[in-house]
Amino acid sequence: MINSENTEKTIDLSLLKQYADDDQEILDELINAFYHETQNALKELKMSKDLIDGTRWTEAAHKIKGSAGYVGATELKTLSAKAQNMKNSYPAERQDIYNNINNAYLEVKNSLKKSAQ
Amino acid sequence: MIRAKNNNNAELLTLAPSIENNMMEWQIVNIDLQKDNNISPKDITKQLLEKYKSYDGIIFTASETKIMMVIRLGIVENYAVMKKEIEDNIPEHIYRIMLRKMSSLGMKQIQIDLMQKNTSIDLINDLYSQRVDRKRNVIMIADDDAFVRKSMSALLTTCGEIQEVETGEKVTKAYLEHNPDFLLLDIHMPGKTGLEIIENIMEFDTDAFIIVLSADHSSDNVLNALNNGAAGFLIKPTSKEKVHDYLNKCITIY
Repeated sequence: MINSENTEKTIDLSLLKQYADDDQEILDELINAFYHETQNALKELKMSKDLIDGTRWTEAAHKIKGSAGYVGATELKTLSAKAQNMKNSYPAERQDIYNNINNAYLEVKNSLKKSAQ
Repeated sequence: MIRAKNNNNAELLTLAPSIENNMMEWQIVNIDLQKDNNISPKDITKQLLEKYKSYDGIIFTASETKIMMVIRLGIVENYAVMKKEIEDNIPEHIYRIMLRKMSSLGMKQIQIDLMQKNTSIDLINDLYSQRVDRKRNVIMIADDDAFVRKSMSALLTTCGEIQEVETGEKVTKAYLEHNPDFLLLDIHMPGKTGLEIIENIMEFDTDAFIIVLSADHSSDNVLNALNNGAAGFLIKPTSKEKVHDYLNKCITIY
């Protein structure tokens, strides 16, 4: 169950619970897959932020955007959607949004952990 | 219908102008070839495609001895008549492809060389028949994001056997291997995009039931997916109800 007010603002697991048919074991598996995939995409985002060709950057941002929606992480989704449109931006601009995405992800992760308690 | 019969391959293309002179707003043309041709039907088809590339229509190698063409020259006045005549004269699997592409204003240029694709008519018909006949549903989820695959798999696991594919380049091969009733397909994937995959699959399975699932729902993406032959488009993340709505629309899912 989602307990705190902060958790409610950061994530919304109603969709995933629907997918998992309220089976806690399946829900845990899905959340672990979310951690794994998002962390990989964040690594990719970090590694590609200085590249002139923005393809890898936009693909990684797109991936985070897609996953964030499933856990109702609105802020993370909004930031990654913004990053997806920064294919031709300067590295410094990408660094800023990367930091914001990373922070948003950490908040989501904390909320997911709280919700599991 | 004009039936062009040639004894000499070299004359095939020179016959075309005389056909053109008799053409109305659209025309079906059957070209029967001799068995001892020294030019392959594939090569003749290529030349015809080149010659008629500015027209809407369809040109395909139907067999070793037959090439068929449907060409639109102007706005079709009586679409129903055209549809009926095509239905009566064109092999069913080709007709199904055309139905997806044509309208009263025109048909997109679609070029199908069944022999070049190494796809037999039997295979096309078999895929659909197998799906109808077998006593289980097969659902394929193609997405490079393991989290999305797992999520959709959890949602659909009670609906049938789930097959997951993680890269674009593997989808067509996996499709032929598992012959899914329902393909949930991402657009942005490494190797090959979802839009390219739809085109590939439609070349050999016009009854494929493909639903695109993407976070990128720009109008271009949606229109291209539907124009290429997708049966629907879902925006990530999608609800259980919307996925089930599409499952209910898939004829071979029971």
